[in-house]
Amino acid sequence: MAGVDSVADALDQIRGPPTTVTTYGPERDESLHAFLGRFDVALGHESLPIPASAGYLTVRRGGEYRGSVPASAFADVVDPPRTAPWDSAVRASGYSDLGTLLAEAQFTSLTRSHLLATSREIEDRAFRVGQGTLYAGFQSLSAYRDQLPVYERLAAETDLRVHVYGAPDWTPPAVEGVSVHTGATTEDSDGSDGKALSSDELGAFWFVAFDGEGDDEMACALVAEQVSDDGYRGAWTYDAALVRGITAYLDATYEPENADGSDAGEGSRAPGESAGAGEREGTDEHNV
Amino acid sequence: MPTEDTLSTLFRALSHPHRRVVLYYLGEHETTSLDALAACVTGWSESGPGADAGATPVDYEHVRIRLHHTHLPMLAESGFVTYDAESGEVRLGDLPPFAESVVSTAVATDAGDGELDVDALVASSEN
Repeated sequence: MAGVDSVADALDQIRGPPTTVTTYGPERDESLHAFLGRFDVALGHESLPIPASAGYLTVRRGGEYRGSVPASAFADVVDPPRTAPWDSAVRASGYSDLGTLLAEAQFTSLTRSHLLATSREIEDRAFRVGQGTLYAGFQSLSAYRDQLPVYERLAAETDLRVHVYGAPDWTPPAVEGVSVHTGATTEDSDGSDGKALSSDELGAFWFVAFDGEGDDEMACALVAEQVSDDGYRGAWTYDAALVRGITAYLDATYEPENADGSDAGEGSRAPGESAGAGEREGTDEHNV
Repeated sequence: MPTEDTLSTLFRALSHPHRRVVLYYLGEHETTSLDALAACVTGWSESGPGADAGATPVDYEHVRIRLHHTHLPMLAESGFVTYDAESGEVRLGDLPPFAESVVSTAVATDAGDGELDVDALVASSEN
């Protein structure tokens, strides 16, 4: 497995063979094509003498057929449902189906609402598995504030260990099973540069990763870099080896801020934890 | 008026949903590749108009192999398409005028765009 040495590096490593998306129907669905055009895919339309409601699209990758999505799901694709991860609408949505097919294809500009829908997919998987570790990078903790009820429930109703990352513009309440990382107190073993680099990285990237608790079929990750006010470039992946690389990088790079919430996760990280605690002298002001 | 043989050939050709989709597709595109046809037919059966017809799971490779070995040679033998098995190129062949109206009636039915118009079907075979 190739190692991951930054979140940006993880994104660079999400690369699949060229993806081809073909839509079928009486004519191009312009809003669907505009959405698909945000991905690095070869996009085409082939007309068929059928009503628009009977249309569909197919996805091929590297000559291999990956699957199809019916026209009835196109509206969901363009405007994904905003629901909680445990809501069955997440799995039933056309966005979910297409999302699976477009894994490993880089996107150049997706909005927050699309990233939120993709994040929900990953949170939903974690919720269903009910154990393992979920990593969520919110850029700034104030964004985590909006999702706090969701994460409180994820932590309360499952045995998941949850790690939340973001610049410290808000102080979240301690939630059992949830460790918060701001990157501000990180002392990189490579040297003093690690500190600044780490917080910049947390501010720039939206990421969600689930390790699948050893089940490679369930491992997945989304990594996206903010490039404009409401624009992100990135990709998501189901490559378990790459997901392991991302989670190993996050574990090694970011110490938890709140000793309180990290209790549940402590067992799994015992070796790193004790080593890190020794280096963390002088950072106690962050442990409110 | 078409002979009984021509009619039988046409209805045999149309008796498999995948062969019908090939003719619908070629009516719009005239020339294509085996791979593009296989993707179109698989998607049609999984998520398109064919998806309601039966819940049988379709497999792209299976569809592709059957097109190559069975459906395209049969359509080629009837002259409705030409198929170059080496390059994979598929072209629309000669469809008699009555066949075109039978095909368009068939696609309307396959695509759920209304009832089968039997009158139109009979009228077209009497032309």
